[in-house]
Amino acid sequence: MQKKVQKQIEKLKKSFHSTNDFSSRIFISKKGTIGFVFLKSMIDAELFSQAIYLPIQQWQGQIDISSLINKILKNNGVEEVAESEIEKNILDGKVILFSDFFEGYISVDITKYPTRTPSEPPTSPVIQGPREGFVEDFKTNMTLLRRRLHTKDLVFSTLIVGEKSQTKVVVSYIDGVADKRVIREVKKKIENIKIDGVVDSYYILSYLEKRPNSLFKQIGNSEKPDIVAAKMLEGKVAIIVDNSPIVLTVPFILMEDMQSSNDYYTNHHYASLVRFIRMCGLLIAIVAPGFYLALQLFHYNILPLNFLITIADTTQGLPFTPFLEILFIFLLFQILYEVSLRLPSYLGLATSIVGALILGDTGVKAGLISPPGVIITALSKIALYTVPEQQSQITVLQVLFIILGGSLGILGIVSGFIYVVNYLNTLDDYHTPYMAPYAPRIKDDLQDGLIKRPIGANKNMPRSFPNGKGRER
Amino acid sequence: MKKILNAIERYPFIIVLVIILLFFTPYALFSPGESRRRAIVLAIGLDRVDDEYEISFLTFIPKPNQEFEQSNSVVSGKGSSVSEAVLDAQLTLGKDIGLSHAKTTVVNEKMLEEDVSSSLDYLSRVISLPENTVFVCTNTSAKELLMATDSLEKNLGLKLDQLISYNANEVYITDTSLEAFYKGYYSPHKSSLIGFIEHVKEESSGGGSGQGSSDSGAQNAGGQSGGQSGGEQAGSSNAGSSGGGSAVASSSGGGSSGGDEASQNEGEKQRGSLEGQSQILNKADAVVLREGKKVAKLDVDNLNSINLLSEKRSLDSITVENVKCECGKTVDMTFLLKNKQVAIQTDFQNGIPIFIANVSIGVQLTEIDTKGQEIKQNAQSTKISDEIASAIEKKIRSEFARMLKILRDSKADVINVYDEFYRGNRKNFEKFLSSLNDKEDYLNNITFMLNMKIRQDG
Amino acid sequence: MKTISARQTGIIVFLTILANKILVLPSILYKSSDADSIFVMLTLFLIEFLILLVFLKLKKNYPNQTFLNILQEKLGKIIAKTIIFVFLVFFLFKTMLTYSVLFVYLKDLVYQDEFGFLALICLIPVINHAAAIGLRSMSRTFEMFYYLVVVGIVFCLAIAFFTDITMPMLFVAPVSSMFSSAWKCLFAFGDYLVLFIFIDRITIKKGEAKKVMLFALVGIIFVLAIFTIFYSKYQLTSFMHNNALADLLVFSVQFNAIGRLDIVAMLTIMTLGLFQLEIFHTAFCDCFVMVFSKLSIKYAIVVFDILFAVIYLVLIAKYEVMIDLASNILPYLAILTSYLLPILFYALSFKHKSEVKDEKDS
Repeated sequence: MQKKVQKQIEKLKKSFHSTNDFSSRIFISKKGTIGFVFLKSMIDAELFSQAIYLPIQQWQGQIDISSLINKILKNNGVEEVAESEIEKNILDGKVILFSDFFEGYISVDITKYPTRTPSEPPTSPVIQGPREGFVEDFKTNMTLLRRRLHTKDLVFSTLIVGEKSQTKVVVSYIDGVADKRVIREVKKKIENIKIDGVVDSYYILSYLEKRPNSLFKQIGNSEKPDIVAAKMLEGKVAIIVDNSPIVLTVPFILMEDMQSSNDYYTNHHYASLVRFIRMCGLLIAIVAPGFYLALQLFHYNILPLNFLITIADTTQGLPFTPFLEILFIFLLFQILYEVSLRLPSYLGLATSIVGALILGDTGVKAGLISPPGVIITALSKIALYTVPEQQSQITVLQVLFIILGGSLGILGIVSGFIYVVNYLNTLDDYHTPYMAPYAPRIKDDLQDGLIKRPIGANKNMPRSFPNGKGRER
Repeated sequence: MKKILNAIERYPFIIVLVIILLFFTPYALFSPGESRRRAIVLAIGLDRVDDEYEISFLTFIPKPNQEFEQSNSVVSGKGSSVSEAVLDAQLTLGKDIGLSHAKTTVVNEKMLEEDVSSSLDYLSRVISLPENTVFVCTNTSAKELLMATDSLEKNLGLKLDQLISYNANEVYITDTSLEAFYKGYYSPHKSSLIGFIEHVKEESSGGGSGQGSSDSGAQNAGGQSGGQSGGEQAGSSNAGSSGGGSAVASSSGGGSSGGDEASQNEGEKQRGSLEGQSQILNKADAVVLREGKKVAKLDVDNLNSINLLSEKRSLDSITVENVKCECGKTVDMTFLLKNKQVAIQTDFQNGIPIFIANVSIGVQLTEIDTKGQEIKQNAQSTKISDEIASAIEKKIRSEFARMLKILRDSKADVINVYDEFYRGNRKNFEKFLSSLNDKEDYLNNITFMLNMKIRQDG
Repeated sequence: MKTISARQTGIIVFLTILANKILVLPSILYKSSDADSIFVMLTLFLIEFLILLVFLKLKKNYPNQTFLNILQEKLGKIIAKTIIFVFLVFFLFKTMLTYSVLFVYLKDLVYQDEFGFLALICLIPVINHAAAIGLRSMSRTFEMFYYLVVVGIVFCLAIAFFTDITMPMLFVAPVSSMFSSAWKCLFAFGDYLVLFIFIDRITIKKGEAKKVMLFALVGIIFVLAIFTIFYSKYQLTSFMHNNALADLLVFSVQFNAIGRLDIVAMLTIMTLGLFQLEIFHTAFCDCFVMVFSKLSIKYAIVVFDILFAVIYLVLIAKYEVMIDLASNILPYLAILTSYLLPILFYALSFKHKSEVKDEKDS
């Protein structure tokens, strides 16, 4: 009799290619043998002995499938599963019970794997306001959202993506608030994903984008549950991917990145000012080096005399031409940035000192680079972090505008800028104009645009993107 | 191939980028900045020497330093026309001339003997030259004035255009710019008013060492020796140019070239005295041009009289002599004229045009010259008696009449009489003009009425 | 159908009103009719405003039809296509004139050198792209930049007030010279005609027609303000200044110390110029697609580029020639497109109305 259980265990072990963490236990009772199969890397060993093994051992009564489920095992996640689902359950970190004296399989959920506790995400710290951030575990993330949205309308709908990884992707939305077309489109897109594995939400992101080749970000993302909850309240759909602390939201408008969670937890006048500065920062980040180059190479005549004198004095005798100089400084900053990202934090400090002091200051003193060049490039590099969410695309734009400004002058920059804006206005994904509420101008939503009004003033749902009201345009 | 074509169709901006990268970027990559390719001109001087034009540029010479000190130099070129002279100067410099930062244009007073507009034609055609460029004339050569400008900047930290801006704000009734000149030139009365800056070259007043005298000699002799004498700023470029005058060299003090201490001290002493040798005197004088030719020169008092007709210009004071003050003694009193209110009217009586200016002037006592008498004075409470008021009025009237005489004699209508009549009584005025033998001599046939009200102010 | 709102239509109207009128035109007109050119402009604007009313009426009566359909329905296919072909030529030259005016400005004041190919590579790809992406995306861009353009123009006008300006002398020019002025600037008008081409993609809800008219009024006021202030500032030397809006910023000696502010005018003029080119180019492409209904917009763009290059670089070559052409020969075309045809359209809208009435009665 024992052989039957043994055989089953062997069979499962074989299907798991005798992986090292595949474990099994056999309990021999008076009535017969019970087999336990699980992945020891995925379960709580102590709980296994305390909540499963011990109760069975100490049980004096009849042991059958219903008594196991209803009386003996006191865990929450105890259920009977079909034979075909055994492997999936084991992979999910559950213990499978089977026996030679009853038919059927029981799965007990005692999953335990290392997870982070929610902490303040380093990418979006707040001065005042909630500090919790999403973690890698999708269940915790769901909890974080549920805690903020006590409504029965909050729906989590789980889909499995990735042939090998079998990653859980949870589409969450508030029923009646989120637009049904958007929900449908998102689900359809996720269902159609053909991929081996999903290790981060970024893998899903590129499938959700309608123009994956585009430089511009088309899907929102956040590490903070308060932000995602707020977005869901506006009618957006959130996509939680297991093993990723980044939650995606659709639809996305550019204005979202101009808004920081800090804005909602401070005085709205201050928030308006900060948003305006962020806007200026974004502009400076994109065009400043290109513009400076254009002035130097083509339009010296519009520079005020004193500034011109400064530039002429400081660039006199430099080995580089203006274009090469800016490219050189830009490259230098980019290298320093990459280095500081990858080095451990204590070394990061050292590199910034080396970068700022040694390379910058000495470069100027040695007559290799000019102070205005350093200042302009540094300004644009720093200004970029007023909108850190747009960092990657702005960096590409910086290079593009350096080429345009240096090669074609101000006309090149203006043309390039209008081209980019024209392009952004063609982005109309998920029935949402990318540049809303400014293009097209949606009057109601302007109160949470660059100028922020008090939260009470936002009486209506945003109309920039479709939501329960079914607004389109 | 088809794939490439498809890609081009899908992403046409790639072609654009490739074209830019291929055709424009390589050139731009290795092109030096505009500031290196062009000489940035700060002021332009125009002279006429022996049937040739000489154009001088006060240019900024970039020097690699961290102090942002401006180092200028004067470069000139000669030619039978202004544009040829510019080309000549360009050859001397080895750079293109960039005129977009030129703030001042100076012409020699002698050039105003003929229609100056023909000399200015080139400058009016250069689009990069801003229209608000200050336009003034000077008594010496324009080149020398530009050189002296440099020392003005070194010693006082003052630029010529700032000096003239001050005049234009406070004294001149119009701008003194190229634009203002042309505005007057093309107007029916063809008159314009431009600023006059006096350039004084004094002989060194004793105490000068041997070197000092040799320097001043160089100044008289011409630029060549000035360049060699070790002038700091303009030396090198002067040597290349053929112009006369080494004002900069002399005013910056070549004494530092001396080797031993004694000569250095002497040099410093000499610098003090040499600075006095060539200096710019701003007396806020102006020259009246008619059809581009100088017809009159107005001093600051004349200009202040003109300003009676303008509310905006207010820097004026008046001294009345021998008036009785509150204490009963006869003194000289100086008043500041403030808060003018001006209303101009035009009228015709019996076919005679009458230009009526109703002016209300606030006066503020600023000074009393007691002429040595003992007076217990309290300036603040001094009332303006009727006697004083009438004395002020009399004085202002006499000044105004003096100014009007100059304008009438020169037939130059820089006080916009023509415009006022044209606006107010166009038909009558046209009739009146047609009745005149010399239509341009209308000022002499117009009656001016000055209604004045003097009130105490402050 | 990707339609645009009344506000966006208004902004297109605003932008086209400023086209060709704020740079070289004031000085050209001053040469023939002094400051009285303001009255010439005023009169032509009044007529232009009537064209806008014709458009609004036509739109009201034919809410969803394309321009070609409206014409075909009433006049038959051949006449309809001929009319649209005339518009096609009109818009081609309109684009060229706008390009020339912008080019002269850029050449004189921004680049100070011959820079022909550079201008082409900067401007043509952008306007091609704009025509390809269609009216909606384009007008969204206009909507975004609208306030910036307005602020730019207001800034230029406001700075001019810092100097001594006096009203120019009016009623000086004889009537005949006023007529010659009107003739010279005729081709610079007729900008609302683009609306007829875009008629099917414009949504004007009830009561929103006023919005469009308001934008038109703002545009007219701006142009007249630029003319008035320009003439007030420069008066007799107005003819010497070919770039009115930019030259307004060059102020008097008193303000020499502030430094150069040309950049504001520069950015405003470039943005405005590009937008106007985009609008006229799109109108050209739309006409092309209507005339050659089997060809797509891609062909329209390619044909435009070839025509543009050939006419400009081979036949005309000198950019100033285009401006001469616009003030001497092209007014004949403008008479047809801007005055005669709108009268026809007005008649069409009536005809339709009576038909509607008949239908109702029956």
